[in-house]
Amino acid sequence: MRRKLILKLKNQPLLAPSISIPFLILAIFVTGAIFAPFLATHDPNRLDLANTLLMPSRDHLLGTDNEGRDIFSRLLFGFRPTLLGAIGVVGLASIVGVFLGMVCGYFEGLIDTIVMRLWDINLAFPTLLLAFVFVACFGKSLMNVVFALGIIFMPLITRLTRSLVLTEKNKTYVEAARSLGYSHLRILFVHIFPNCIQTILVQVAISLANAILDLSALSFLGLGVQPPTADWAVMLQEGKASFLSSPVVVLAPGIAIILVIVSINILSDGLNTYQASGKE
Amino acid sequence: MALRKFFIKRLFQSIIVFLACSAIIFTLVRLSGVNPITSILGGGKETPEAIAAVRIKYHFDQPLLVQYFFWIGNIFKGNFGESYKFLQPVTTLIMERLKVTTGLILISLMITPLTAIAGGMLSAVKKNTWLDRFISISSLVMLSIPSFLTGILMIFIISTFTPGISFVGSFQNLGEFFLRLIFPAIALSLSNIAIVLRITRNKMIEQLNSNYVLNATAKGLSFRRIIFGHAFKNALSPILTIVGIQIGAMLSGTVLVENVFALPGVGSLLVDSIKASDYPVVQGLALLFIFVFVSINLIIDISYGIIDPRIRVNKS
Amino acid sequence: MITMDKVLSISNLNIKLHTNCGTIHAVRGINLDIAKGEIHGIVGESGCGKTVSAKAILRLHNDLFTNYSGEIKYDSKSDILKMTNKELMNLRGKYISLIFQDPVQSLNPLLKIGGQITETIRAHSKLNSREAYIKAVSLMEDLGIHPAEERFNQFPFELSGGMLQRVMIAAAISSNPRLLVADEPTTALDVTMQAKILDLFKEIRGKTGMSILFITHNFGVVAEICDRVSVMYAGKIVESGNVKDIFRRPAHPYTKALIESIPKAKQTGKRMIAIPGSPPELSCEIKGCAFAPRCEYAEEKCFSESPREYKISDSHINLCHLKK
Repeated sequence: MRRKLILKLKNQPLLAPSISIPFLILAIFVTGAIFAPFLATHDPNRLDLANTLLMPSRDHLLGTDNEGRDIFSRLLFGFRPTLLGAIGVVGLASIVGVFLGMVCGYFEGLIDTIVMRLWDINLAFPTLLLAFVFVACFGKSLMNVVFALGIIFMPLITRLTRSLVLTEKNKTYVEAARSLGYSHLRILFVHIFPNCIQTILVQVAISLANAILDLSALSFLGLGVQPPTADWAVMLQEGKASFLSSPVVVLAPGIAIILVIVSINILSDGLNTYQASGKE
Repeated sequence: MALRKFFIKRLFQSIIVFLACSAIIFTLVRLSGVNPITSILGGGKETPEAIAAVRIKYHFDQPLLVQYFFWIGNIFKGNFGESYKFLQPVTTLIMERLKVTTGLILISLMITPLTAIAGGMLSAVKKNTWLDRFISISSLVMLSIPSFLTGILMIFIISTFTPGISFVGSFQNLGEFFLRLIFPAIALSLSNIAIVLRITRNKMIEQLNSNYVLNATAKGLSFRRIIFGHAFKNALSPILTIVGIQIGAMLSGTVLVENVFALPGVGSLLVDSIKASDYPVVQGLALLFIFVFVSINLIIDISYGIIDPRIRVNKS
Repeated sequence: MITMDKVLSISNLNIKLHTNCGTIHAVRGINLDIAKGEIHGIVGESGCGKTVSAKAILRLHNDLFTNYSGEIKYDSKSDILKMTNKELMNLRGKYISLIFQDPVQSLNPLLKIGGQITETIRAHSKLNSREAYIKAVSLMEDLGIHPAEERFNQFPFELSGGMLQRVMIAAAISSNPRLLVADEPTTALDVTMQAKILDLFKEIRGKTGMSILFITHNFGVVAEICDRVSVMYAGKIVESGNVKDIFRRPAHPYTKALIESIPKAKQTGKRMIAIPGSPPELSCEIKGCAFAPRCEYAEEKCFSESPREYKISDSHINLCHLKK
């Protein structure tokens, strides 16, 4: 036993580059977003029509956009709405999804059928369509988009949790707990839940990446975050026209989005293999 | 026989799902709190007579359920209502723009499964080699770039290196049509290719490690026969599932790509209508998208029945 | 019946498997000869290396993660461990066939069972599909898969485990191989089916003179069908000889213990005898005799020195310090 433990500490997979590097990149971006007011060199929304599309310089680290705003400062502030929105989407989807999945998987029967049929209908909406309809009905705003995406993301997490609970509940430790007379709620949340959480977390990480992608898409179309609020997707939409004359306008937010999503995807891949090796 | 029963059951389920979706869209629009009469009439023209006329014309005087049946009944007759903004039938508006979007989707459908499955199988067979690592890493990056960003970057790169190619203007013949659409279609496909590729790789590796593949090897079958005759057949069902889901992503992806490449398709019509609160158009387009998505998934479901004999016999 | 023609001769075979959890030295220098027409049994607990050895005979381990040393000679000529992929493809299923433990998982669920027999026939002969069909159907009839023509078009999920094992056997013997390796072919089946399949193996040997290497953890099965038997423990063959000799005069303490632990019908009321302890982990090197910690006769020498092979008779070999 002890030898195994030492071995495990030696090749600690959490320190492997496939986990630590993306984690570091994400940490940098998140820190930048949190401390944006202190790190920004300029007011992200101040127009300066005399100095539009400047090249990067000491004063403007990444130059200025077509309305003279400082791109570096907008980049720092621009992660905030998407990040908060994505956390909102995934939070909403996981809380409802995990709860429904556990209830459906554990009790099965009528509740299970109803919820699953409902989610089948939800899944019949091509990814962003429900969000489009939502925005059309309730107006263009980040809140509406987050709410719609939250609903879109629920079925996936419900299904995953449900299938995990379905396999877990037939294992001996659950039978043991049941024979000891524990209540369903206790068995479900104290015994079964901790055994599912790892797999759910990987799915949550993947959902986070998808939420950022979808939120950006909606903001890009002008249906999510509204200009002049600094946001990467909004910056892309506004900079699209001046791309040829001043590539930084598009490259800065573009590379930022790619880095963040790539990092989350590598991280969830890494966590997945880590988890698989833990089960071996 | 069993296959036909399976088909009818799936068809029936699809119709129910489609009706449920239409009811949800209808309810959402009516819940929105925006007064459709004002939207139709526009500001300043709200005389009582005009309101009454509109109420009767659009059945707003009836209960919600009746209105829904009027609406859905008309849709089955091919009548999607009239756009508030353009004052034209929604069907005409959609038909005008359908060509571009259909072209985009068809080209993407030609590129995506082929590239993805070929790449994924290659990666699985060459597992742990440099080629596999290259494919894996590039698919991870492809997966992480939103299609609108791919589009912008493509325009930038292409116009920098070959200034001759124009992305705006109309097209007369099929060749021009294809040329205009090929780049947007690639932008639309890249992340879908990556997703399908990764699933293909995983499923193929799973199948190649299975007992029946070991048995097939022990029987002295050729490598090609084991890959295509055995492993791929078994990996196909989960791959098709993902392809089905990704077609949904592709449908909503057209909206973004049409925006970036300024293409006059139904996607850009959808965005314009959302911004203008033009509900009949939004409703009609949403139904069209769902119809296509549900139909494609119905076809995929039926193909499971053809691939997997167990589904044919044991229902699902 | 037993001639000196060796169909297969394994000498000093060592197999190391590299896995995620480290290297496993699964087979540790085994010697094994299989004569033409004999049924040779390998007995041992699970994890003793018998399946690893069986797969090695057709070199089915992934070459990238496996270290072989020693020799596996087919027909006293070519070394299987040195064959090219093309030679291997020609060997597998044509000259040496393998039957796996679980027929349900070893047949492709999406392909008709008939097709899974004919593909083997066609891979190793020039028959066209019609001729292969006729051959497969007659094989299925012979092996008791009735009605063969109807079964031919069925899928694995429509057949019972016993029937599927017959299908596996049909595919395996379709090219008249010289050697049939059967890896616990009856373990996944119920008891009545087991007996029928065992009879089938005897019948096949009688009809074709095929050699069979029969791998099992069940000494009762060995007594029933084998001519000779090798007992495996922790990657080594600890005793081998004619089945009669081994049953009458088991020399190795492990063999004795195994034979004693067979439940006997007459001994009602007595406790089942089990061997205390568990086999060693094959990921580490073993000092001395691997069985010593569980052996009731073990002496000091057993823990420090590896035992050498000792010939009790020409055909009876024992691997133990206690030469009695």
